[in-house]
Amino acid sequence: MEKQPPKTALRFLRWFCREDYLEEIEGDLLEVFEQQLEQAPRHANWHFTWQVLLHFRPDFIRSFSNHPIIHTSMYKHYFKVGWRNLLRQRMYTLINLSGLTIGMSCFILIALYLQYELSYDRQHEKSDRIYRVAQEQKGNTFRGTDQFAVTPEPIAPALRENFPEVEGAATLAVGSNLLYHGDEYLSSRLLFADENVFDVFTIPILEGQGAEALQERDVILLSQTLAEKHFGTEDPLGKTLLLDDERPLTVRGIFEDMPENQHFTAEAIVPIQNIPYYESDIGRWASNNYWTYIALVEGSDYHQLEAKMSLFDEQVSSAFANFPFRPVYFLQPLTDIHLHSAINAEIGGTSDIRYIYLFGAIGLIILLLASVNYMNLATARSVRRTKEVGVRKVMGAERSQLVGQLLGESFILTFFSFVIALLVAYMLLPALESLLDQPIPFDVVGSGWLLGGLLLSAILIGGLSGLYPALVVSAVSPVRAFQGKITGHFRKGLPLRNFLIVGQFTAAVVLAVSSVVVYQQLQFIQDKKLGFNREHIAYVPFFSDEINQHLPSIRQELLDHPSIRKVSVSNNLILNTYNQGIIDEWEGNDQERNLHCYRHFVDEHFLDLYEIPLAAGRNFSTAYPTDSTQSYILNEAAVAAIGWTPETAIGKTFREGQVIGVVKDFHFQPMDLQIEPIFIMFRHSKNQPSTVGNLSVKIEADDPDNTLAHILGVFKNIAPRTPFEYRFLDESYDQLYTSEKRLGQAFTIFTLLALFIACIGLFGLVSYQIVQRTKEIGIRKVLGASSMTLVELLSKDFLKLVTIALILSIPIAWYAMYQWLNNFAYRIEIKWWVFLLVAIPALGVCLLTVGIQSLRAAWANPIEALQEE
Amino acid sequence: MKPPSLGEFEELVLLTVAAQHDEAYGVSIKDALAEHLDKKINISAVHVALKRMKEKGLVESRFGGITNDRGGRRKKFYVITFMGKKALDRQYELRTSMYRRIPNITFG
Repeated sequence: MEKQPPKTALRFLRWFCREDYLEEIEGDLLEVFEQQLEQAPRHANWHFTWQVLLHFRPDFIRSFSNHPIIHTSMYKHYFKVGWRNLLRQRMYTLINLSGLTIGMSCFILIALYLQYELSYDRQHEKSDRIYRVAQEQKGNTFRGTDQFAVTPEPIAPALRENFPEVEGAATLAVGSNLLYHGDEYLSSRLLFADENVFDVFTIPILEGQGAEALQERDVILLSQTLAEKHFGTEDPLGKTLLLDDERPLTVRGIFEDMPENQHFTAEAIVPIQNIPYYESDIGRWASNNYWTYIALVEGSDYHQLEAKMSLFDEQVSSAFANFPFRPVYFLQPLTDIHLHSAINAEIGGTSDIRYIYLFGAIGLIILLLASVNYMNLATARSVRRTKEVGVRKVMGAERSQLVGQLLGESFILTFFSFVIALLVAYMLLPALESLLDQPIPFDVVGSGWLLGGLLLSAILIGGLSGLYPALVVSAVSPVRAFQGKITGHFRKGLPLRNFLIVGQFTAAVVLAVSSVVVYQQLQFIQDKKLGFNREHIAYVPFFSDEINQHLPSIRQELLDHPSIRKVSVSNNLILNTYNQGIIDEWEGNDQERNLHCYRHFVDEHFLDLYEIPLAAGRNFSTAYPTDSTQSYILNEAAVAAIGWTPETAIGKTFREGQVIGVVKDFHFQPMDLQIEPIFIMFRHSKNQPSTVGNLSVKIEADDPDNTLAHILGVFKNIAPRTPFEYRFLDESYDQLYTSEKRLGQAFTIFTLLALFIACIGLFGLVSYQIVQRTKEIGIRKVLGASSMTLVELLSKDFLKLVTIALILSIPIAWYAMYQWLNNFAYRIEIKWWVFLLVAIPALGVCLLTVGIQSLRAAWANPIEALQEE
Repeated sequence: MKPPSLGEFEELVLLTVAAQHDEAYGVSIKDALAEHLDKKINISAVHVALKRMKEKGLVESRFGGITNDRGGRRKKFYVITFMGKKALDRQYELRTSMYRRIPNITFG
């Protein structure tokens, strides 16, 4: 026998090759193989295999469809039958598809939000190796943390000089100074920076200079938008602007707008030397007025650098010799700042990673619930198609055809729902943006994972919900299908389904209880007695010396208006006092104890306007000349912390002056903080040489518009070029709790969604059960069961499941809400009836869902149920 | 009717089919081409050229009888069609007419 060509290659050829070419190709190949055997027998096998592979090309590959005779008319037929099936069970179709669509759009919206939140600060080239220097001041706990984002001026140069791994170190400060061009107000969102800012951050310069310009002092860089807004087509370069109405700065460059997803933003960059106190801060290690950002060289470990920063200890210790704490510096990765940093003196607003986790979890849960329900219901529905499948089989359909049909239908439906979900998400995005009060780009493609994840889940949902019916239903023999004997298969999944129902309702009820508790807490804050009256008070923040100097005349002009009763000026706003310091001088204390004490600088009308009652002593008065410099009013908390009583405190020495009065405690901070000690001093240039402040006005309820116009008019007369706006104190108070409010609103929405989805799940399961038990119901009816008994029989199991879910959800919801409420120093108790408040409607909805379905089954004619056999 | 276009290798295969009138099949074409061109020819290339020319109507094919060679597989013989011949003529005409337009150049 001659040598045979390699079998595998030959088999492969026979497998892929078109039938009409196979004989010719195989013959020729064999002949070539024989030739080859004579010429080079050692390579013959290899040569043959190679030649086979060369034939593996579209010209000779056969069609791999099993049904070469399938025609488009068959697809048309599939579509028609699929469509009719959808229409025949219109209710199911609508509920099921809308459930899935809602779940998916919800997930898309949440994912878009998360994608945006996670994209913060990543646009900088070196973003993965930029760090912010921050400090910890052990023992100096302020508003819940002893970490501060600010650093002294000398730290950036010192880092640059001492550590070769520091590639760049920039000192920044943000300012709300006013910027003018001639008489026109431009902006007050300024960034003070040295030229090193370009070594660290990526800030593209579109025109003019960048870092070179910042080496001088009297220059400014503008953002593209700001430049276009004010100079239009004119060339802004070389124009002179005025900072705070006095310092002329020349425009030297235009930079690309800073993106919204950066943790600090500014419309203009000004050399840092323009900060009035900058010069005196140079080299001073106690000058915590700046933010310091550094870029490390690639591959260096920032923890090592943190350890090495103890090099500065000596200088720091001497600078802080008079303080009871020493700062320890540490580094925060740039990309962590937006979500992970919760420290004092942030450069801009930050978010909280816990919200990210919360929203992420909710999004995933909703998507999971929606998909599981969809699959459940789709599976239940497919039982109705066993007869169709039976007929198809009798007509000669192959199993693969049936699987293809059912799977295909499921895929098309899921993708349809996916596309609708994208549209819904697109349309609802503005609503979410206004709810969360931040921009969210509709960037579905984005980094890829969002679209990929969505497509994957769509494929999974489509595949899984189609696969089960496709495999089970198509496997049934036609005879059994006509006998209706297929239902036995479906009992198997019961424990899983029960579990799913319990899980869904638990999630829904936990969300519902939470939203009630959040609402109650917000209501509590709303109604809480603050210790002062916040009604009918408007205030105008001002930043300029111009106003400060004219305050007496402004006051008089305002009071001339008939609707204005009282006017008062204070440095801080009463709602949110930041100013805190350490005091160790008071009568009976020889610098032994330290008191962390907030401070407030007000005029003599302050207590009167805000209706803050005195516990003892008297208010400031112009009748006592010493009041302006030496008199103190404490609150009850401060008095108690020192160990006095309000009565004994009067006349005691405190710092360099005396206590003249004690006020009852009032809330000067958000509700998550206790009322802490505070002292109040007369607002006087000797006490606090500040030109910023707030002017509060108590106005009569009627005709507020006219009154407010009058207030603004007075301000405009004094300082025509300065922008002013008024705000209402009660609105600002509400704004303190915006994040809680958002949480509350989001919870309400998600609660409704979760309940809706859970009901769909229940609906699916009931209809499913009823399909299974059609015959049982028929027989029971024939034997005389009443409708009531049947409803009871059918609903009992489900109500049991829902009850279990309710019981399960109580501890979970209680624990979650307990944790949340713990964030507040002033909070409500969780009342037991909250659970009833949620449980009763939830049970009611379930009863309705289950009851309607069971009633329909119970009222059906038993003949229809029984004639099937 | 304008004959369909013809690739270079297709033209060579078609020439061989025409030359070996009624006796041309895959391996014989391959061998002839290998001999004339003095290089190795892959049988798959021949097959592809034949298939495409058949689709264009330049060649026709028939199966030969069953023999003991080739493991009992029949040969598929190819003949040139009228259209194939016309395509070859056209190609030849084109080449020669263009060749004639080359001025007399002597190299070296």
